[in-house]
Amino acid sequence: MASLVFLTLLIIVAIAAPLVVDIFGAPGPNVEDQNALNSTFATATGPSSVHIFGVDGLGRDVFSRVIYGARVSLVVAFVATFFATILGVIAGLVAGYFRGWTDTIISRAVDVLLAIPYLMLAIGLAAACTFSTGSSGTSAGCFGGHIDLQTPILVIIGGLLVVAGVAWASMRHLDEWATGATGVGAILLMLGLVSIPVPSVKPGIGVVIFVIAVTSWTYIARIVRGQVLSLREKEFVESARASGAGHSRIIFREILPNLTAPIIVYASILVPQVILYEAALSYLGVGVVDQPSWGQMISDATGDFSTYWWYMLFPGLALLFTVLAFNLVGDAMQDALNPRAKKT
Amino acid sequence: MRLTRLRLLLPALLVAALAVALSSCGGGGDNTTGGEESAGIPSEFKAPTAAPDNAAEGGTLTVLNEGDIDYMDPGAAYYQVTYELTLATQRSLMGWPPDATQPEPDLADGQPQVSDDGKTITFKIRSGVKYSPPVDREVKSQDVKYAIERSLLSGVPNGYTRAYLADIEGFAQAEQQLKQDKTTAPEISGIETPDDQTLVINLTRSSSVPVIQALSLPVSAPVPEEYAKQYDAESPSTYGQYVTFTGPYMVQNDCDIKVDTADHTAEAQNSDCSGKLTGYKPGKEIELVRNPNWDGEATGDYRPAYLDAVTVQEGFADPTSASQKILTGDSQVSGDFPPSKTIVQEVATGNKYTPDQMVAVPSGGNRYIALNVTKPPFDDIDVRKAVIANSDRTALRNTRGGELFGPVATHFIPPLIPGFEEAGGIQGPDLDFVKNPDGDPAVAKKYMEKAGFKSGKCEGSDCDVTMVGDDAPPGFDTATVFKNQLEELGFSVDFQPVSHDIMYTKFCSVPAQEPNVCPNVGWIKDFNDPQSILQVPFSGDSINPSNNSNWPQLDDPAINKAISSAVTITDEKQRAEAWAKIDDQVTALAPAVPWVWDNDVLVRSEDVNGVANLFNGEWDLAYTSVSK
Repeated sequence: MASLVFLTLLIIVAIAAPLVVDIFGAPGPNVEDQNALNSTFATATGPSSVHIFGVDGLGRDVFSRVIYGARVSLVVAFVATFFATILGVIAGLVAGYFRGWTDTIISRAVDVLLAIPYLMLAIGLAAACTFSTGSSGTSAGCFGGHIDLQTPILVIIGGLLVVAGVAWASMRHLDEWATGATGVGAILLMLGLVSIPVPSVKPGIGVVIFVIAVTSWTYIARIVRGQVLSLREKEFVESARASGAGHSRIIFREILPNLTAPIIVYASILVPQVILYEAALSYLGVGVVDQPSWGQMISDATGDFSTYWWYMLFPGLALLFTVLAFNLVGDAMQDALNPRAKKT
Repeated sequence: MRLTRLRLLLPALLVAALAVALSSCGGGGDNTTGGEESAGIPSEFKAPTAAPDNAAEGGTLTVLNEGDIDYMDPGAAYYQVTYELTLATQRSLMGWPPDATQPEPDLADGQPQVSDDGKTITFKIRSGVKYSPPVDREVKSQDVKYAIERSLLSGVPNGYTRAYLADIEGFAQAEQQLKQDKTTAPEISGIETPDDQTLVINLTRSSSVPVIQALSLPVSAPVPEEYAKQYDAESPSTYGQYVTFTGPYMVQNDCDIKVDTADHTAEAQNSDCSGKLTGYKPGKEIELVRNPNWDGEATGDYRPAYLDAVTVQEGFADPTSASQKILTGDSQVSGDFPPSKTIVQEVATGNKYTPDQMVAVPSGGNRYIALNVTKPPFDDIDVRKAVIANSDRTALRNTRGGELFGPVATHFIPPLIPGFEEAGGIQGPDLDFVKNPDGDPAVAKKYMEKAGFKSGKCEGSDCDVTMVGDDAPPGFDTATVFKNQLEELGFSVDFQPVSHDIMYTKFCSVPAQEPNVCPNVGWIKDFNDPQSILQVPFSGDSINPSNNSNWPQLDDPAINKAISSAVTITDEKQRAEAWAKIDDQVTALAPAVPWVWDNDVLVRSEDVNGVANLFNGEWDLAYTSVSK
């Protein structure tokens, strides 16, 4: 209950960050107050009446940066979790329902992804997507960003495949061909979009969300696939099939509703993981760069922690309590929605 | 020379120390007309420039470095951190004792004779100076001639001979000759060696001042032709792996030099050796030992050379922990990195360490933010002036540290370089847009209005500017702060952080790829003359399609003309005034935001009697000693 209250407050604070900062009389998160720095050494100074959490090495108010940092954490947490869940659920549904080679491909892909240390993969992806120097010199975007001709081709072919797949599924059946075309099309589309050069892909929150979603959907996919494998043999599915229901009806109307509880539970467990994930990426310097984030603040503070405890402590506490609250809420969700999974 | 991450500039402290150096150095001439009061280096952080009377002989000193030297070959060496070694291992024609403000004779036996027309320079070479094993022979004037000639080879990537020695007669023909034969050092006819002890340099115009200054750099360290020729025939030259030394120290080689720690002499253990350096492991370690063939007293060397050996350890990526290791350890000094501002505070306040473990030396360098004048919006001088006026340059300086790291710059010639005072000193020229170091929004608004932006803020598509800067502090912080300052004026900034090397080699030094703003550039003197501050960074003639160091791409006919005539002035006072005037002209065109004249901040272990070299802004290894 306390966690729910905390999270509600946090969300309100994040949405109303400028207001909250104003109420406390703190300057904005990027204001470098030179007067707040040590006058001789230009070093950070601790909590004072003007800067209640102190300032960092550039004279930026730690309180205001912690408040604004909540925005980054929450946006990344919800958006990345949402995409990871969608990806995972679709992959799991398709693999579990169609079995056969569809299942083999998806399951092996999941195995491969799980075998790659996810943080390394994320660092590589984030680094590639934020900046690279191709033959042409300036370029930014995944895969070097200089795929000038490929970009429109990928986008067009990918888009056509998706449209064809969806059309096939709605007019005929949701079968291997429809899902295959949609899946391949979606991948091509994604490749095309992320390879658009310079201005479209910049380091920052978008890349972080992409990276986290791409590396986090696998667990959900496995869980969903396992559930679907058993569900598809259940009598109600048999009877639906016997009465002539198509694949899409069976998947979305018969199987998916039975998966709501585990999906919600696992999504709520994923949220705190994603928050830590974002913090880790930002800490390592491949995360959010253009706005304050807790991981980035902790990273800035590591060199001088023994002297300037305040600009690690406050973002650290914010991160700790947020993750803890999400974990407790996730636990509660599990108890409520999935009583059978309760620890014995 | 371009500021590299290997040597970060920190100017303010040093200025006071230099003033002291000036009074003790008679021969160099009065090239500094003040600055000590403005430099603001507190007396407790002034660098000692002489060893204490009780300095002990012997011991091994460890130098901690973040990166590696650039080239072991003295013909190509250019980084400050490399000079730290060459000053102790090579005797160039002119040299820099720790307190010198002008070059003093080293291999040369006395100041050079300059003819009345300023076009002929005659050096006498000391007799008895010998090469380290395995060369072992005496140095002749021909060796200096060869050293200069070989620096033109493409296999010996020298960074400054073409800038400062091109007025030697026959230089152009030598360049032509090089086109036919790329692997033989070309003859420069203007360098004559009437006998083994005499070197005459004939110039096409009276540019003796920069030529003599340039001959104090490692390029004039003698190289024995008969020994080096085989290595120079390869491209790149492999002489860097077989360097022979004339200074008190040498890099350990396969002659297996053994130092006797009792009587502080050295001897080669292996007489059947090629001279291949075994003590240099790039990126890891450089091992210096005493040079068995060096006899300082007999050959008039000013270096006391207390230490028996020096080990340079490389790869300390975190300056904070490396500084802590030095401060709490024994017999260690910092090399190419400054301590973080936190460490500086801890040392200065004496809470954890002794304040005298840290010194600051004016580097003779500046840091500025280059505004690309070739494209909108910064092709408009009023927009540039507004940007400078709006910039809180104290905030930019504070990203590196407080006053100890240098005064906020108001123009380009740094303190202690001739012309600094003439160009306005610390206060700077009388220009409203550089006057207030904390920024002046009212002046900024005035210039924005003048540029046609009625609201005082930039509006329109030209206000989207690109910026490529460092991805690691403190450069990243500087870029971040400046980005905010630009945004205050209505610009929308696309900031791409990259590594410092990439920033130069792919973007800021390649005019075709150059963004609107290069926030992390800077320049350090090549020698104590304003020409070495202004010529390469601001002359239109020096713009190159790659490896360009005129980052604003300023190409102003009046400035170009003034530079080419100021080069040939030999009178010290007139020279300082002429270059100060060029500095004024450059500053008035607002091509860049000057924000610091930095000091090099150095730290040492408690038991090290550190002596800093004011020319190079590093510890002087030939003067530093370790107390027993």
